Amino acid sequence: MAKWGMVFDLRRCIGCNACAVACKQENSLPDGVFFTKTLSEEVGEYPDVRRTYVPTICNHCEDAPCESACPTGATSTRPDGIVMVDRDKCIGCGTCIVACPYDQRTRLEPEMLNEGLFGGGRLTPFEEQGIGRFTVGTVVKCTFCHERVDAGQLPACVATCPTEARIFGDLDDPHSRPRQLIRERHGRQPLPEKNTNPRVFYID
Amino acid sequence: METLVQPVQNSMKPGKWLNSSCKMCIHSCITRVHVTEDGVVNKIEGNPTSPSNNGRLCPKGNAAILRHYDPARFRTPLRRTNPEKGPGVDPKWAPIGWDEALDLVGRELKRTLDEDPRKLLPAINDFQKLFLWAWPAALGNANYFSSVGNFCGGGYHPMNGFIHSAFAAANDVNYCNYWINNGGGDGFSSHLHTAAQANHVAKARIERNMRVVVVEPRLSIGAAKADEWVPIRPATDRQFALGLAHVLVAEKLHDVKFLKKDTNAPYLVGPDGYFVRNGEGRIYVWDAVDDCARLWDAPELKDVALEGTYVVEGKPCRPAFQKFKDILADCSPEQMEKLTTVPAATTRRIAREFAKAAQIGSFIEIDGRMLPLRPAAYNYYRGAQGHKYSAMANQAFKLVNFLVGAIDTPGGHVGVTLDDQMQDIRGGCGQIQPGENGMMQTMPHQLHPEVPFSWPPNETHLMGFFPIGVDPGHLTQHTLANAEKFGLDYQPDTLLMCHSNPLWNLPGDREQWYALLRSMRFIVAIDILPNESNEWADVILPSHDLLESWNMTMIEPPHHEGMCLRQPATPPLYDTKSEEEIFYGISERLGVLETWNGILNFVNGFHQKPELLLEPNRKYSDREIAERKGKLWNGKDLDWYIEHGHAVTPRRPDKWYRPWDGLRLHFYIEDIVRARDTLRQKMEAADVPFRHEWEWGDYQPLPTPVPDPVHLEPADFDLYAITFKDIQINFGESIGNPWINDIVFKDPVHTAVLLNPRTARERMLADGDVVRIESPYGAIVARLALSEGVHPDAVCVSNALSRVATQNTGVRHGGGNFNQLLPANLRHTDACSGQPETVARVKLTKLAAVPAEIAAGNSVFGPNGGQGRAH
Amino acid sequence: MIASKPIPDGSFRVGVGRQKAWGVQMATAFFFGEAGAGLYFVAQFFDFMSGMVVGLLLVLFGKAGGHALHLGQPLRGWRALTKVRTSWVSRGLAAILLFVVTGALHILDTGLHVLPAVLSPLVAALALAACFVIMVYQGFAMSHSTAITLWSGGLMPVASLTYALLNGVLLTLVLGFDEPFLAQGPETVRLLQVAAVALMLYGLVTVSSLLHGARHASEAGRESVAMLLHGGFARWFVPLVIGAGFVVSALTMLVAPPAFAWMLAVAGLELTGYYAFRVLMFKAGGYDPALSFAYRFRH
Repeated sequence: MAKWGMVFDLRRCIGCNACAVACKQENSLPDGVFFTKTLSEEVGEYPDVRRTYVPTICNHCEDAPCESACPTGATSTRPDGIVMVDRDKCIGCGTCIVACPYDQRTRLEPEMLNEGLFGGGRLTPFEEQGIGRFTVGTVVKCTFCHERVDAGQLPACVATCPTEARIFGDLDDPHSRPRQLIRERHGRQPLPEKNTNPRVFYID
Repeated sequence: METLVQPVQNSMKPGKWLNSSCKMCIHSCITRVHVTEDGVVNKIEGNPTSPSNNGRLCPKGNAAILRHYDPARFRTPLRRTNPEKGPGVDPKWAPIGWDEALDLVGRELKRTLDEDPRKLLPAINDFQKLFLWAWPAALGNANYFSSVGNFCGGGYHPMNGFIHSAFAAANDVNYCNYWINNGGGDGFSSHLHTAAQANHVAKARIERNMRVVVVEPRLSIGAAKADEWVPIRPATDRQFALGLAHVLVAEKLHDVKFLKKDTNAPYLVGPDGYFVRNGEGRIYVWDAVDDCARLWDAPELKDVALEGTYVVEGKPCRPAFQKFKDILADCSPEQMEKLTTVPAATTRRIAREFAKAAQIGSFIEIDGRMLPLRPAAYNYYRGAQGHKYSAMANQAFKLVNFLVGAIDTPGGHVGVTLDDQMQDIRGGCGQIQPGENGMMQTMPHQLHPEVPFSWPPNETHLMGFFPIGVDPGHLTQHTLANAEKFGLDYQPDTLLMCHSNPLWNLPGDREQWYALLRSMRFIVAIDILPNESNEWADVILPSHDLLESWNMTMIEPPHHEGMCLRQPATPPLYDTKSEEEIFYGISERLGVLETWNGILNFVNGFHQKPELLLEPNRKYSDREIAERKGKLWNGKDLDWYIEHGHAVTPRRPDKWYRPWDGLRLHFYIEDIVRARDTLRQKMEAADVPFRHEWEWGDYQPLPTPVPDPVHLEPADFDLYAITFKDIQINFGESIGNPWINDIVFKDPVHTAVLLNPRTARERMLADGDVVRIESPYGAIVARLALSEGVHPDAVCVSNALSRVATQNTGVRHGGGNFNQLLPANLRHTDACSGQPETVARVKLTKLAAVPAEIAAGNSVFGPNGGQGRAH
Repeated sequence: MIASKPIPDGSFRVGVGRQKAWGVQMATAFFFGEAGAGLYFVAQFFDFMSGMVVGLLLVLFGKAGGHALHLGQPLRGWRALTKVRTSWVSRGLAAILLFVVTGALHILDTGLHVLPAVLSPLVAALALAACFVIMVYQGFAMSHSTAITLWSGGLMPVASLTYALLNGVLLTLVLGFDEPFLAQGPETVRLLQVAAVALMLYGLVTVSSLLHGARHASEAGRESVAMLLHGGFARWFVPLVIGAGFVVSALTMLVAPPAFAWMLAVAGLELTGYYAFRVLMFKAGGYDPALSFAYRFRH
């Protein structure tokens, strides 16, 4: 079985956050909730200054601290490595949120689901068809677009990325594109010192 | 047993995919739209079959669904019931039926036409239905009340017409190895098919190690991704380019063969600025071998001189190249550094790197054709060219490419046609035609035929006085405020807007614009969402959005061509109509249906295939027009397009590379001199009173280093304010879309005005301070964020902070519109191209707090400022 | 400054993200947990009935109630019992249940001798053990994950135990002041006073070490400590946690005569400091940036 993972090419990423919006449309995310987002950082002093764009996402860690910290078993890892949250088991204690070193989890508060994207509690037909996947008070996060992946497609953020800065594939396959890139361009995992063994790598 | 689980991801739900294309900016990336079994649009993706956007979409394209379902959309035709008009004043709309609305509009416009057709100010800005722009022509009206075209590309488009006979231009991503980006986001954040171009440029950067040098006052996205950011003082880009040209020529790094063979650089220029011609009008060059003058095409000509001073036919003269060299004598990088602040050593190094990368003398075979390979190119756009001396600026950038032979050649700087089907329409745009004396015919008018000179002027924006440029809509403020001086013998009183927001996009004093709008007897707006301008309308005619309508378009795809289908994904959500239906409805009521169909046949090129011609007295639907446009492109009917989605293919190399092969390009633009003198004669003949004030110095056949007048503003305006868009807010209205708001107002460059920390320290300003930004023409309020990625002289204002629309509560107000810092007058308008200055000299004053009226309501300064929506 | 502002606070900048999942409700629950369990623990040593009752009630209503208020889906809170194998939260809940049952039984047994003699010490031991788990597990729940440097240094369980014991001693001194075991045993009072001062000193060292460790462990740790010592939280942390909670309360205890009002004052000071500790540890908790070039730049 494949073990899904992602590589972020920092040289390619232009920080446009098309990924974030594609994710929002694919997953009907409420206002202010992101499963992935791209941050920026300025380093240096004028005129020797650089800005880097850093995409972030759930790393679907092999040693997922969210999973071991979860008191209910709501967070679990699928055989293909995708870390999932079962909304029927989640009690919204937030332990996984403080256990995730990457700040990638969000608890759905009532106003997030009730206000609507345009405010005032009026939901558009788009929101009405999508919002049912969420349970208030439970924790959500990126699922690597598990249903798309199960259907042989790429996650929405990967599919839309204008610069192809997100490379998705099977980390167990030494010939997969992500594995190749990790090898050739010395991919590194975010915060390795946290001992989580992420399935997300950065190359620059 | 496994239970059947309904998918939770939108694209995986039961439903169907439809082929379409995007319209969240003016371009048309190819999309697939997913519609659920209940008829709800729930996912839009790039279509992977498109070689242009390769299945990719930018954030705006990804946010189209929320425009479709925006509850603020106009749902029926509306009539104003509040007689009071003003910014932020609720029009108190009353819904009316379509017949009533169109009758009302027809009646009011009829009155205008009966009185004087010139009294109508049209602002029609739908770039994907460019044929609509021609509608006022059906009324005999050539007014233009907007600045969408000229603000960004007033000098750019005519210069592309001069150099490439094309509308736009791009660096050839297929082969380029050294990419200079000056004041433009092409390939990173904005301009031509952003997602597509970012895709191709990223591949070139990563897979081919293309070097990118970005010259800009701000560390933009492009600068952030570049190998080198060259910070530059605003409005000095031309001088930087001339510094490069100086080095290329002084160090003899230029492509002599190209200049001699493929350009008019060897043509001899007389003291009057015209080429030296014989009695038959044929131009002389100097034979360097035989040391004598010869006609440019004389068979005995051995080798033409590019340099030197000669006397021919009794006139002292020099080759055009020598003329440029003379100008460059005063353009050393050291001299230019004083204005640009770019270290001379940097300019020299970049010039050398650029020339080296250009591989002068190399060739490549493409499709059996040997072509010069010049994998180095200088690209630029709005920020670099949006200045008073815009035509000169544009030409300076082009000349850097000329010097290394990188024009319209693999790896170089290449003309991008607007729409390749346009063979001999709009003055021949898109087609190369031979001109006189072996030169290519210049095509400076890329959007419509030249508007004839008239006195008194027929057009409030004086288009007849711009034989070269793009419509300077902003001048309407200046001319109407000084109607007597400009000889206007009529007072416009009717405004028609179609997908246009002039109060947002026009430079100049807001109060004057408000006064102008108040003076309108009747305003009608065709639009989708409330904005700054349509809140002044008397009648709103609501149009379908991009998910409800048919269209076929192809707008400046840099490396590709071919029609893109737009088709409805859902029936109209509300009681809306297509633009086609609306204009037919109005035309019918005005009795101009036949004329309008004639114009449509012409501008769409239907006359090229007689079977596509529209019948004079019929009204056609958006679907019928779209089908004809598709058939015109490749003969395929709508069913073919519905199945395939598009006809996009890579640009044909024969049309993309050197389509003018055998003709000479305009290194020296004599046509500008001719346009100046022709205009001067007309103004003399008509005794136009302001002819002595006219900015005659703006017409130059070659660019000079004279500083733009923005540098001559009073010294206490000690900083330069610039505005910028990034990919999230590219082109038209974006703010107000919840998903766009959600990413834009979290991006630190869009939530406050950026200032260099050193500059701030010198002025005792700190991060988070509220300041008034004041130019000689207007003022706005902003909160400061300090950034090392800003030139010390620059104040960088995100366009996300420029909105002030009130009727749409999703639109967050900044501290005023950047454009009100800019003048809307002749002094700061390029007389040659119509380009207004887009940089403002400003001073900053610290305020104790955000003024209450600015912090009120839906402001980014409000309690909810920048974090989520204010409801 | 965009380049140097360390806390992005919701904006899309690389920097230390503030932990917001656990807030005041969680801090209150933690507070009652370590106050109640501590009280019960000390009270059981002295067979101090009302202390045990109050301790048990604090855990039952204060802690469990605080948690229930915090939960997104409180009705399925029972599910939190299912992962004792890996989750400290799960273990804690199990301990609470065990404690409430055995503690109540022990109280009943102490008062009414309802248990068979053979079970009596077993229940007492179980209650004490469960109580002890409650006194430390909150620290483990926080330090188990490496996510938040301020919490993960390993001293958090020590701090929990120290605070719990300190709370227990002080609450016993207050609630039991007129009870015979104290009223008639000045040496016991003295012993508890000395224990309190020792625990305060120990707590001060623990909290200081915790901050010291966090500051040098990561970018987020550095920012967290900066927030507590000089940033927005310093005006609470320094006077309340350090001042009232340890220094002033210890000095007061050293000079305090064995009088109820003094014991009450010291307990009030210490509990205020402790509550502030609980709230501020949550508020100042921060995540390290997943990838920061500035951080690499500085180190």
